[in-house]
Amino acid sequence: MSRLDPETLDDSLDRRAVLELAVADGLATPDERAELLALGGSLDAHLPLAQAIAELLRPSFLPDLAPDVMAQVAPQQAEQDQQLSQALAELLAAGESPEMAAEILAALQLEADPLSDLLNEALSAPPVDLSADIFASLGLPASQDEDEDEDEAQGAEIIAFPAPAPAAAPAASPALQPAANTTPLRWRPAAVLAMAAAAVLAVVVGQGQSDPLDFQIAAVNTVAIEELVSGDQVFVQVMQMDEGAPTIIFIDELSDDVGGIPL
Amino acid sequence: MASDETSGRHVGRVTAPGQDPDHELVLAVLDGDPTAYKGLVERYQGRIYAVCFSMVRNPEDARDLAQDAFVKAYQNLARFQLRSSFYTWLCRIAMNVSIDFLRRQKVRAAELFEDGVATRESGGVLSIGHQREDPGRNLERKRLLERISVALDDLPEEQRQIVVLREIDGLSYKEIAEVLDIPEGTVMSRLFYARKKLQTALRDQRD
Repeated sequence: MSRLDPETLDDSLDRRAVLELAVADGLATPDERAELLALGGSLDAHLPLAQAIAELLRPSFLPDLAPDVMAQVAPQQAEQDQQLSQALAELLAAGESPEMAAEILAALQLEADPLSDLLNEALSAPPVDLSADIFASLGLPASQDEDEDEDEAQGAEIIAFPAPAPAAAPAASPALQPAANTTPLRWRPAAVLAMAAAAVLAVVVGQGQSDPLDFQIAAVNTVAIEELVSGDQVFVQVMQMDEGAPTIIFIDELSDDVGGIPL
Repeated sequence: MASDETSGRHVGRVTAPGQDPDHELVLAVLDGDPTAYKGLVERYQGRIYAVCFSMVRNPEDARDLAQDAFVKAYQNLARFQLRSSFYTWLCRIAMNVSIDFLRRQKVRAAELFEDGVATRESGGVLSIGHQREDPGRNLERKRLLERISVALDDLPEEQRQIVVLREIDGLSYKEIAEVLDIPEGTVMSRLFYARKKLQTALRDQRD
């Protein structure tokens, strides 16, 4: 009997009883199991009983006793714990997260990135309906129908290119406004198309990446244009390739002059 | 209470810090940190509740008894011998409060019986229907469980304790012997005879 200590055996149990006990409690060796079978015993006689006992006596639910017990044995501490839990719950319920970025950067001995601040400011501008304003400014009929309203509701992405001279300065965002003393650039139509494609790509790719500084890239990359004035020889086209796709504004010349579009 | 150094009740204990996490928590409580007791409660509340439930078979009573056991253990922590297992000591307290409860229930049931209003349930013995409602269970299974339930209730107290500690809590013979403060051989013989009685109930049902 390897796993039952003979010293502990009670005299009231005969050999078969000891073997049955050992088998029922998983203590029997293979030899002992064979011995029980030889004595006419069964190796699984205990199973239905064990199953029924477990079913009858095992609780289906285990309560958390700790709060009640601690309230009795250490009431002061329990009260403090409760107050702390309550305070945390209230804080979380408020739904506000504290501004920690500056403190974290300071702790890391890093400086805040002014570019990220500017981008945050620029990108947090609320989305506006550009196409209506643009078409109204140009005195053109609207080219999009009811779908446009739906797109607006879904926060359609809009990529806008500045109007040709002598257009007023776009009022989208200070961060995106050109400096007053900059020399006007001249854009070739092909360059405009390339820029539009690049911008679309940038927005699409940018959405799938996470910035290490983790500032929010707004779902809508919006430029608000308050006024757009074009010359007589300028062709402006507002396009949206698909529902939910970015709105693209093409600006091109109608004349044969290949001098480009002044910005 | 626990940090009552003047009583000298835990002076001279031989302990080996780091060997038993339970003992470390016990010592922390005895050194004046009552919050350390929470760790012990959280560690054993499920097992102690299950033991109490197995004895009284009523969730509310089991909860009260388990809670009572933990509070009593805390109040008597200075008497705990660090040479033994905290759980077996706690389990003994839980067994004692459960048995006290059942005895009180029996007395009450006897009083009610004399008044002519007693039922088996009012004596602290619950029918199967109270334990696990399952309309889909077949009638034969229900009858079987009822018979075993009755047989369990009819077991002598000392045999029932051992069945609970072995079948529900999974304690070894040695641990059961420690909880009940009886020889290991006695544990084995009581367990064997308790099982025989229950198996008889099982067999009778099948016959």
